[in-house]
Parts: sequence; structure tokens; C-alpha cells
Amino acid sequence: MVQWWKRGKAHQSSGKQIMAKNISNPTDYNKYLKRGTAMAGATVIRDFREQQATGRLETTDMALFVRTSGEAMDGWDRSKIVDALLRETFIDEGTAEEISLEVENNIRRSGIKMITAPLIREMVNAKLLERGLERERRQHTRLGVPLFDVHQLITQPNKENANVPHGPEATNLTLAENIKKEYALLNVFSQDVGDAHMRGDVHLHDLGFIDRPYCSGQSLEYIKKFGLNLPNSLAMAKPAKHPEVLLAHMVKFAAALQSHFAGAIGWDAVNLFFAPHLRGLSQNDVRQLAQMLIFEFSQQAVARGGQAIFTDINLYWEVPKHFENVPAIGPGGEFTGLTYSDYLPEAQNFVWTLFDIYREGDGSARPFFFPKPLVHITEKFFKTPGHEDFLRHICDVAGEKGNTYFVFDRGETAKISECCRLSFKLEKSDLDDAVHPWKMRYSAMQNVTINLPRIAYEAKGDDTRLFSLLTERIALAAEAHLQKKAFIERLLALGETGPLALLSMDRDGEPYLRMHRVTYLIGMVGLNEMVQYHTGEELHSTEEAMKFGLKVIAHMNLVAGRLGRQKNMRFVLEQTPAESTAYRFAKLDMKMFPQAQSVVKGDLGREEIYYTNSTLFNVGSHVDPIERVRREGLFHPLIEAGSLTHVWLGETRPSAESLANFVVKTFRMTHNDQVAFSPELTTCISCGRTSRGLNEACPYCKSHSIEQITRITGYFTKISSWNKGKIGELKDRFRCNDLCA
Amino acid sequence: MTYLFTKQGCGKCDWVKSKVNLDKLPDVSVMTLDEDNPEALAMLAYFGCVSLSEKKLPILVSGQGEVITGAIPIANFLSERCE
Repeated sequence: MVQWWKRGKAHQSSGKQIMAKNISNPTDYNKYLKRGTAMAGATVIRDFREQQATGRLETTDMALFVRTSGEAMDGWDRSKIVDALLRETFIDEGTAEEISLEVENNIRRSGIKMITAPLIREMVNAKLLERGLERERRQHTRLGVPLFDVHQLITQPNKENANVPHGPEATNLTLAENIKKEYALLNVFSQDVGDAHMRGDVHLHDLGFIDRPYCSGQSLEYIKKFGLNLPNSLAMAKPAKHPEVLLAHMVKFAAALQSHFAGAIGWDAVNLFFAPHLRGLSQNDVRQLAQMLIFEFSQQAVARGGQAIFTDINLYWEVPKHFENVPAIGPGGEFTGLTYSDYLPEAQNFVWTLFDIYREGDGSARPFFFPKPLVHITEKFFKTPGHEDFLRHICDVAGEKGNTYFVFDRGETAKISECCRLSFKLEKSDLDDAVHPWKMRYSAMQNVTINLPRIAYEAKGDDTRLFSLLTERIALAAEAHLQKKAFIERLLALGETGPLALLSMDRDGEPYLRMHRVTYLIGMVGLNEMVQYHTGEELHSTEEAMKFGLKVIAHMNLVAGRLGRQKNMRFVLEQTPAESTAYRFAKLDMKMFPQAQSVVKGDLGREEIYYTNSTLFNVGSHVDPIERVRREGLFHPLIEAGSLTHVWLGETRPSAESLANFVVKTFRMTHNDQVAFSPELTTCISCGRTSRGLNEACPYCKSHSIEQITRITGYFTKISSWNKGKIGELKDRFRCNDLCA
Repeated sequence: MTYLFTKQGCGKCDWVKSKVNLDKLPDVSVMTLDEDNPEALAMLAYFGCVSLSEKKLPILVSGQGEVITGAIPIANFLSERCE
């Protein structure tokens, strides 16, 4: 039998040798692919030399040069079309030959002397379409970016994510993201899921990071116990003996994790877990370490894509109940013989000192953008001596710089918070794990957000239709999660030699990414506009509108729970930060649903339009701040994976006492999960000083070379990097002056 | 309107319902919490009782917004209304 097919010598991208295997004909090849080996990267390459020798293949002598994607200038070779079609699609050889001849004739007739490989591929794709071979056309798709777009990317800032600076590394990141987005939509998700994303029914977040999970919460105990021992690392470091080395390990590990997760990297109980390394240190040394920690994470703009690592540090004034009797790990990864309760003085001093540094700000007295300090307010907090002074201290920072996030853990609730508002609520089994705190690492696989206003447009005022559509969209989100989970599991199955080696590493008897504790987020955007369109009233304006909004979120909660039980996955609701999604949905709906004009927010003339984030009230509504916190907080118990209420301060500077009163009231009298106070600031690039408010010129030196700064969704950043939708929102924000009293 | 939040399989909820003739109280709305009843969960959230319901059921929220838990206090409250 003639050997028509041979499995290739090597997989080009991995360079791994693949054992030769002969397949006698295309049918066998198709069976071979269908067994799933295509996904494993098998490459089948025709042996042209052999076929030329048998006289079955002719090479044209067209005087045509082809600029290939391999950076070469090759002569024309029609067989390469055949080769690619047979390698990448399920097409038979006869059709491939026919197509290659037709394409060759078209090129010959055109008289062109130079042609690019991508253009040839598109010509082949056109032939596939003419034959109705849509599946093969998709398989044969070339992922890439138009020249114009690349030029724009290189020369213009990308405003999809305000945490991406403009520079060569950022351009690389964006280009890679664009390719991976296309790959995800074509090769990871089914067509109905991909189409729903493209239409804007839902938003699949971080498609450009399709080959990694979304966010994660870490325990410092992991590196304290196991050192910095990462797969593919050039050197292994034993557990740190000194606090500054522990910090170096933390920063390095965070950078490694940033390369394996799409979003935020949160750290639990940082001040407490540092404490055993701080015993006996002078206050100067503690201060130096606190300063290093904050500067290291705020200046890490040399990592992935020039981004700072989106870092959250969870902090406690007390020793959380679940860590009280846990044996403490000290220098060298050794147990110290004491429990964490014994290190309360060091933990308190460290957290106090961290806030001293936040209070001062950076070299220009600007607020630090990262790491975000999340202080947990619990019943035990109020029973721990010194809490009044500490609360005043962190409220002083909140008023001055806005850094402090107040996370409310009422009753027996304990959680790890991160990202813009994401939280991992600890269950009983997690609290049992606290005896081995290095095991306490949690991840969210993906976030899928539902465009709520669109459902209202489609329902046309019909309640039954509205809830039925909502159920369909949640089911679609669940389907998207299943597909991403399957893809990530395939990558994880490659173990410590695969692309997710870090997440597969097993240092404590289970992989770093604990799939059984992964959550799958279902978010929402524009509840306010959905309710407004459906009922005629905005959420904040009537009790009936509020009740209807609660019914929508209750429905989402129940359907997500039911699907979770069916699929044995944790589908949980999250308030999507929607930094760009609120803008994207509004733009798409304005094109597809003219009625969107009646509810969309922002400046339509300037296209600075947006939907209100998640379950928040209209940002411009004049609602008393404590009333906003109370009423928005009614949604929070239905949203397990995290919620937040913003209090926009503008240029006002409330006293620490008034903010402390506000925080205590919020804890005692509301169900709100998290509150942040956001001042607005202007930093002068000329004189390096920072002033209050969003100023057009520096009040000190009158320079117009300034940067305006405030909180975008859940973090501080420069307004110049915001997208149009967020600029529209900023103009509408109602600033609270009442807290100044 | 007064709301009585109950759940299928909740013995205390059944006990309250057996002790009080709810047909005599048209202004009391009985809301059964289950996965097909978003209305009940929404009202529970509206009154800020979601976390409470994870530990205690039944829950009664009076027309004045007073939250009462415990089968006996709820039964007593409703019985007084019947009279």
C-alpha cells in the first residue's frame, strides 16, 4: 500500500517528537482526528517528496513569490494549499486538490507577482464557502489582526482595561489577547455561546486569557512552608528565614500567578501570616518592610503586559476565629511552637504600620493603586482591644487617600476578598482546612455576565417572557462555564510539563489549583436599566421597582443554584465590575435596540454611554449615602461571590470620626458586604504635588501637566486611561458632601 | 401586609400553620421558600432576612416591619390578630 499519509516528525509549537504513525487514507485520518488527538496537537504532514517520486504530485513553476508566515520568501508551491487543507480540516484529498487548482488559476489570472500566505488562505476559505464547507472554513481560519489595527494598537493606548499602560509590552499583551480571543470563540466555546457573546446577550470575560482561570485567593502559608519551588524555575528557594526574603518570595510568586490567572491575586490575612517573621524586629525595620511591601506591589508595572499585578491584601485587627489555635509557621518554614493568637501584637503593629504608609502615599503623595488593603470588620473586631483607634486610623486613610476597603463579615461568616469585589465565602470544610492554612487557596474559573437591559427590551413588558429569557441566559452562561472548564481540564491533564504546570504542581498532596473549590461566576450588568425599562421606574425611585429588582436577582440566585446542583459545579452570582462591559453592552444595544435610548446612561452625543454596573443604583441619583449603602446592601446576601457599594466623595474630605461612625452603622444596621470611599485627586506632573478634586490645573504651580485620579470600578487609576463609558459615568456620579459633618 | 416566611419540611413552620387559622388573616401572606419561588426570596431580601433565614425559620415580618422569629412568638402574634 502506498503511504499516503504520515504523521509529522514534530509538533512545531512544542518541539516535541511524535512517534511516526501511518494512516492509509483520509477516512482513517478523519477517524484519527475524531478520536480527539487533534486537540492534543497531533500534526499530520504529507510526505511530498515521496509523492513527487511516485509522480503523483506536480509542483508548479509559477514565477510567484509568497511571503509566508514563517518570515520567508518562498516560491509558489500549490501543494502547500493541499497540505494545509488536509492537515487542518476533514476535507478529502480530491476536493483539496480542486481548490488548490482553482486558487492557483485565480492568482495566475490576476498577474500578481507577490502574494502573502494569509491572502492565499483567505482565497482558499472563499472556495470552501462556495462549496458550503462552513465547518472546514472555520477549521481553516487564520487568526490574526489587520495591519490598521496593529498600527492603532502600537500608537494608541488601549482603554479596555485601565490597568494596562501603553507601551511595547502592553501592545504584545493586547495582540496576544486578540488572537486568543478569536481562538476561544472558534475553538473553545460552541457556536451558540460564541454568538451570544458577539451579539452582546452575554459577555465572556477575559477571552484573551482563555488558557487560564480568572482570579484566585492565596495563602502566604504556602510559600512559608514550601519555599519558592516552582515548575520550570531556574532555581529553587527554601522557605524564607527573613521577613524581607518572605516578601521577595511573595512578590515573585504573585508574578508567577499573574501569568497563570487572568485577574486579581488576593492574599489572605497578610499581616497575621507575616507576624512570626516580625517578632523581635525594631519599629524601623517593620516600617521598612511595610513600605517595601506596598511599593513592590504598586510598582510591579514590569510584569505581564506592563501591568501592575492586581493585588489585594486581606487584613485583620483581630486574629480570625478560624486561625486562633492554628500552629504558626515561622522562619525557615518551621512551626514556632506557638499559635497565631500569640502573634496578635506583631500582626496589629504590622497592619497599623501598613496604613501609616498608605496614609503618606507614594513619592508624590498619590494614593497607592495596589496592593488594595481590605480590612475585615467582624464581631470579633469590635471585641478586640484597640479597635476604636485602629478604625479611626483606617478611616483617616479612607478619607485622605481612599485606599481602605471595609469588608463586612457578619455572624460566623468568613471570606477571602479580592479583585474589584470578588469574595470566596469560606464553608465549614474550608474552616476545617484552616488547621493547614497553606491549603486555603481558592479560584474562580471564569465570569460570564448577562446583559439585563436587553432582556427587558426583548420581553416587551411581559413578566413571564422576561423571567423565561433570564433563565435561558443563565443556562447559556452555565454552558459557557462547562466549556471553559473542559478546556482548562485538558490543559491541566498535561501536568507539570503542560502550559499550566504551576497550577498542577503538587507540593501538599493536591494540585495548586484545587478544582473542587473552584467557583463559576455569573454576573449581571444594568439591573437598574432593566427595571427602568420594564417597570418605568429606576431602582432607587420606588419600592415597587426595588422589589422587582430583588425578584430578578433572587431568580438568578435560584436558577444558578439549581444548575449548580445539576452539573455539580459552584455557579455563584457576582456583581460584575464591568469596567468595559457596561460600555460594550450599551453600545451594542443602542445599535440593535433603538428603545435602549430611553434608559441608557451617559452622554449620547459624545458616545460616552454606559449601563449602571451590576445591581447598583443610578450613580447620579441623589440618594443619602447611608440610605444607598442600606438599600443597595439588600441585594448583597443574594450575591454570594461579592458586592460593593461606592461612596463617591469628590473633593470633600470627611473626618475620620464621621467615616468611622458610617462604617459602624453599616456593619450594625445594614446587610452591605463591602464599602469603599472614593476621593478625587489631581497629581501635578510638573511639581509632583497632589491636590484634592479633579482639577484642570495644579493649584500649587498652575501647571496643566496633571493626572486626575479616582476609583474606576474597584481600584484607583488615572482617569486618562478610562474608556468612554466610564468617563460618562464619572461625569454623572453624585458626590456626597454629607459625610463631612 | 404581614409576611410569614416558611419552608417545605420545616417542622416549626408546619406547627405555626397548624396552630393558627391563616384563612382568617387575609392580610397575612404566607411565602414558601423554595427554588421555584423567587418572589419569596426577593421579599425575604427586601426585609433583610436572608442570612437570618439560614438559621431560623419561620420568620414573620409585621406590617410595621417588626421581625419575629421562633414558632411560639409567631403563633402568639398571629393568634392575637385572629382574635
